[in-house]
Amino acid sequence: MSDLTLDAVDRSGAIAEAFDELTGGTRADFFRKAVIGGAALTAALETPAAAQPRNTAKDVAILQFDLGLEYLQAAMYSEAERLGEVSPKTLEWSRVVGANERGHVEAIRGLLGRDAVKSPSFNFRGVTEDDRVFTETAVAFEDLTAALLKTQAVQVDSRRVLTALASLHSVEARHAAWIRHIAGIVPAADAFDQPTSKARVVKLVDSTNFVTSAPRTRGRRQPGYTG
Amino acid sequence: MSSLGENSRDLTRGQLLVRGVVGTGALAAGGILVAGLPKLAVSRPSREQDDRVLEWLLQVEYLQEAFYTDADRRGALDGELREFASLVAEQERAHVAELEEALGANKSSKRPDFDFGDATTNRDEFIPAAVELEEIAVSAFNGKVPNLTKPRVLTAMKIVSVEARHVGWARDLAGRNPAPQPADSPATQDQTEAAMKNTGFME
Amino acid sequence: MRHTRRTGLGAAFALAGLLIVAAVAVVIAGASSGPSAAEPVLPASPRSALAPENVPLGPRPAAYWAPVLAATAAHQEPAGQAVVADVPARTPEGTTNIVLVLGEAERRAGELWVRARVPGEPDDVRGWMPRSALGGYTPVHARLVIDRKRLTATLWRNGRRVFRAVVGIGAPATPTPSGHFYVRNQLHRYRRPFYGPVAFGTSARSAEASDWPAGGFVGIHGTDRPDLIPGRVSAGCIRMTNRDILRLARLMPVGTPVRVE
Repeated sequence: MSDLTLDAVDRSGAIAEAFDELTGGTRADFFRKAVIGGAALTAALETPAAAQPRNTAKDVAILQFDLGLEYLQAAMYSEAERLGEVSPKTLEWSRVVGANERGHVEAIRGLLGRDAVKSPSFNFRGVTEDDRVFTETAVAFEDLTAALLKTQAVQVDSRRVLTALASLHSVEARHAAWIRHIAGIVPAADAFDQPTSKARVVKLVDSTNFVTSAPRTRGRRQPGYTG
Repeated sequence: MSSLGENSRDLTRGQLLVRGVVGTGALAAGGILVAGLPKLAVSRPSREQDDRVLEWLLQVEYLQEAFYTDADRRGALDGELREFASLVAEQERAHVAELEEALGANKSSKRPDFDFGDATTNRDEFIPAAVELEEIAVSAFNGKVPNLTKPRVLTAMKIVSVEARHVGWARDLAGRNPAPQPADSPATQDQTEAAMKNTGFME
Repeated sequence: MRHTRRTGLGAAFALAGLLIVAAVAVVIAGASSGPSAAEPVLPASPRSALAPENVPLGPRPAAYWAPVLAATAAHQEPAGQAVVADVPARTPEGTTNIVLVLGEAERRAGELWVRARVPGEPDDVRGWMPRSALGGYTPVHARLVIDRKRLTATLWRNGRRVFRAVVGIGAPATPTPSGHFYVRNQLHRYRRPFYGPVAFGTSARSAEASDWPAGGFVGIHGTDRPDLIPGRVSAGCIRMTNRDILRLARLMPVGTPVRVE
C-alpha cells in the first residue's frame, strides 16, 4: 500500500474545495497533509462534537423548531406510556415511538450544540389518558412532523443537516403509518406526501394548548434547609 | 494530468482528478473504508446530476412497481394483504410516472424484467419481500436526496415519505417493529444494488 | 435489508467525522461490482450525522416528575379515604411542589388516579392522587446516590457515572436520613455563603428537625467551610465544595431521584 496524501492527489484543489463546502472549511488544512487510510486520518476522524462546522442562522432556527416539536412528541408519548391508560397496541406504539422521539431530542440537541433550546413545559390535558383522543392526536402530529421536515429539507443551507433531517423524516413517516394502522385508518393515503409550513405546525400546537408556563421549581429565597 | 476513457464527461472534476493521478489498486482499509470503496463525494448538485440520480431511483421504483402490480394482478392474496398490494401498486405506479416525467427525454433506462416466483402469491413470502423492497427504497432515497437540487429534493422526499409509510405498514403486518431505529441509514449505490440482487427478483 | 455497519471506529465517530469520511475517502479506479462500465458513476451518498449507530434509542427515564397544580393529598387507595401524606401546592421555599409519578393509574368513577412518591417519614411515601391535581410529566435521566459510609455523592446518567464528589453529611446527633428521596427545587442568587452558590431542596426531612420553621427538609448545597468536607458535620444537609455544587447544578435537574445509603 502506498501512502498517499490528499495534497498529492488534490492537485487542482477540487477535493479540498468540495470538502470545505461539506465541512465549512475547518479542517481542510489538516486533511491536506493527512495520509489517506492511515492512522493519522483514523484518529483525525474521531472529531469531538465541538469541532463540527457551525450551523448557519437559518439552519439553527430550523433545528430549534424541530427540537421543540420533538420535545412535545417525546413528552406526550412518554407520558402515555407512563400512565398506561391507552390500549395495548397504542401502549406498545408509545413505548417504541417515545423512545425514538427521545432519541431524536438527543440527536437534534447534538446537532445544535450550544444553540440547543430547553424543553417547554407541557400539560396534555387528558389526551394521554384516552386511547381514541391520543391516537387521533398522535396521527396528527406524526403526519404533520413528516410534512414539516419536507419543507425544511428544501430550506436548509447545509447538506449535512439535510442528510440528518432526511434520516429522521422517514422514521416519522414509519411512526405515522403505524399509528394510523392501529387507529384503523389507511397508513398511506396518497402516493405523494405533501410538505407543510411552520405556521401550520404552530397552529396545531396552539390549538392543543399543550404548552404551558413552566412550573417554578427554581427560587431565589434564602434556603431554609436544615443545613 | 489524467487520461480517462469513458464517462469522463460524467465525472466531476474531483473524480477525474483522483482517477487520473491515483490509478488503479486498492487501499488497505484502515477501518475507514468499507468493502467496495465509497465513492468520492465531491459533486455539487446540478440538473445534470439530478437526472442521473433520478434515473437510478427509477430503477428502484421499477422493481417495486412490478412486484406489487404482479401481486395485484395475480390476485392470490386476500384480506388486508390484498388491499395493501393493490393500494401500494397504484402508488408505486404513480412514483414511476412522476420520475419518468421528471426525466422526460433524458430517461435512458428501460423497465427491467423481474421474476417474482411465489413471492407475489404466497402470503408468507409476500410480506417479508414487501418489507425488504420497501427498506431498499427508503435507504436508497435517503442516500441520494442530499445530492439533488432543491426542487428534486422535494420530489424525492414526497416519495420516500410514502415508501416509509409502506415499510411501516408492511412491518406491522409482518408482526415486526415498524420503526426499530430512531434514524434511518442512507444507503450507498453499491449497497442498494447488492440488496436488490439479494432479493432474487432481478433477472 | 442489512446495512453495512461502520467498522473499527464505531461510536467514536462524532457527527462531523462522518461527513469527513465521505469527503476524504478516495475512490480508487478499478472495476466496480455495481453498474456496468457504460453507466455513469453516481455521487456518493453523504453519511448521515444521524445514522442509527449514532442515535441511540432515547434512554428509559430514571423517573418522571409532575408539578402539583392544586393542593391535594396522597391516599392509600385510589379515591380512598385514608391519607398517607398531604401534598401542598408549594414548597416552603416558595417553588412549585413536585412529585415523582410512578407507572400506575386507575380509574374510579370516571376520574383517573395516579400513584406517586411524595415526601414522607422516614423517607418518601407512595400514595394515590387525582391526575387532575398534577401537570404534565417530565422525564429525568439522572439519579444521585449518597454513600454515607464513603462520604460521596455520585450522579449516574443513563447508566454512566457522570459526577462524583466528596461530601459532608449529618453529624451523629443530626444524621442525614437514609432511603429514597428526590430533588424538589433549586435555589440560587441568594446571599448565604453558608449554603454556597446553589442549593437543592430534597424530599428528605431530618427527623431531629421536624419542627424546623421551613419544614426541616434536607438540602444539597455548597459551603463556606470546605475544610470540613468530607465529614459528618451538618444538621442533616449534604454539603459539597462550591466548585462541586456548581458542577452538579449543570448535570442534575429537579425531579432527580436521590438514594441515601
